[in-house]
Amino acid sequence: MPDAGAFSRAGPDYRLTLGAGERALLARLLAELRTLLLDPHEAAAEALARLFPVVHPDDPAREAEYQRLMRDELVASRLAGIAVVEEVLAQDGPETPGVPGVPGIPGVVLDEEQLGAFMQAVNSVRLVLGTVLDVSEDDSGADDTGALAPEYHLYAFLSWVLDSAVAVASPDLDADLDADA
Amino acid sequence: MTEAPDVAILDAPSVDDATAADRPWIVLVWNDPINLMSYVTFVLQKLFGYSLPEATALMLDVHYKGKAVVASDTRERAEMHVFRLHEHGLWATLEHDA
Repeated sequence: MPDAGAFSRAGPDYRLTLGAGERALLARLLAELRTLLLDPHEAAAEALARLFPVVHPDDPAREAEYQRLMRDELVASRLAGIAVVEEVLAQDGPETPGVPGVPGIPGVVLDEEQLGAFMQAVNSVRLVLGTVLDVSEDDSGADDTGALAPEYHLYAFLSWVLDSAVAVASPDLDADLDADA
Repeated sequence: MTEAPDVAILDAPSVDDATAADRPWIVLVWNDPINLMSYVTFVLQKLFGYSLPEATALMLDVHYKGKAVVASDTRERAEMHVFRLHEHGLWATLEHDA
């Protein structure tokens, strides 16, 4: 049920129902992603590996040519998407009216293009976090009580936000498709 | 009588070369433990216009068989498909169809 997630429909647009604290958290994560994208050091490249996959795994020359032509464009695309989402998160829209005793929800509204940028940016952060956590197919029982517990919880939160966005953008999609591909 | 002009002798393209140039490039999406199944299905619908059942079937191939061919095209267009998939965070590669 889409309305139970981080998004709901608002006519032709979409309403982000996260509170100010959660929106600030997303904005901070996106700022960190931007810093990482602009960081030339090897450690950053390792964390970003899933954002820049190899295209021609069997042809190093062709791969080098592709990366020479396209990598900067992909970085620019990601930075532009982050900027779009930051603008959305900075909205200070009116809250929807609550009922007596129940507060309203934040009124951040996105159009379809902004929602698309939102999904791409949030998924980029998930890819970096998943790489750092070395998430694997059988991580359903991963130890989320150890030293990396905050990161695992963050990863789960981002997964929930992304799945909510997909559900509201594609309401016919099977609600059971909530595992990792 | 004038001298015969210099003639450059070019290698005629072999049948194999011509055939290779004609072969399409295929766009593969690979299984990964991070991308959500719902998101992969959504992206395949959005980028390639697949119906929900088609996109779901491709996503399930990715999940259970490890990969799926999601497009077949000229090299230039196939590279653009891969670029768009990478923009969305999917793990995509190119192969020259055998």
